[in-house]
Amino acid sequence: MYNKIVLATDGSEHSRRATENAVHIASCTEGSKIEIVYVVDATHAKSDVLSNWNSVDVNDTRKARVREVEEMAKQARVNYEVKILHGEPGPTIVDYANRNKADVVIIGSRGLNGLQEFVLGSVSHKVAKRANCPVLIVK
Amino acid sequence: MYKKILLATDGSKHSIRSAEHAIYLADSFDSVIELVYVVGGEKSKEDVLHSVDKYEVKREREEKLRPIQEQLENAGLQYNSHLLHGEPGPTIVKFANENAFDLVVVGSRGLNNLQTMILGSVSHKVAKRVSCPVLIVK
Repeated sequence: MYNKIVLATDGSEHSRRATENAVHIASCTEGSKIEIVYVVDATHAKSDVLSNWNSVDVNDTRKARVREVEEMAKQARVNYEVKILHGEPGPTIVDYANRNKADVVIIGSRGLNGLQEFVLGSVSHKVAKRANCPVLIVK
Repeated sequence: MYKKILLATDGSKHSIRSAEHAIYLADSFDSVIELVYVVGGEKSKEDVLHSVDKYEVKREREEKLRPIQEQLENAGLQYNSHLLHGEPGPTIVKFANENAFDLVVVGSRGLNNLQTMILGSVSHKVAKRVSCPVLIVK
């Protein structure tokens, strides 16, 4: 049922917990694959480049954020693939999941309050609303 | 990891699909499903005014749960049904947080932005306020 699992990650504590859940769900479907998606948004891309001298380093810091998640997947012996995408996190994840016909999207929630959410917008809410497949939101 | 699964239902098509997901997970992880149907305040008034007696009301509500219960029985799973009263969102959240669930499965009606703003999306409220992972099924 869950062959293609899209795991959205930003390297935070929440995405660690999301990974635990992803690995767990992957273990119940034979031959499933986790696609670890890390979205680089424009504001990050700028600060990453400004605080790192050359582009090789930039890729390194991005990879380091995903590495922990990758490590967890490796230890659990599940199939996985890392995808680094560019764009605004919410729409990029939705677009990726819908185009690749994911069976489930797993995403961490930052737990914003009502006002923060109104101003900033919750990525997990956007994804839950617009993705065509079921979405697992992990706190 | 998912030993105790809450499945929120309103007897709609979406909740039949959410039940399929809950069943799949419960089957893989050997978990117990707690089936929850919330009777809202407005609905409860309507039900009473429109039907003959209170037994009729009770029967109608149980009928809403019936298709999902059959699904669960056919899958041979362990489950309990709960009929709760109150506003759907907060009632599900309260029940979920008080009973320490490992996973909440809820269907989404797929309202558009304006509808969500006015009516409020139950699945969004649940996803926001429940402390365990929430699976939203379309």
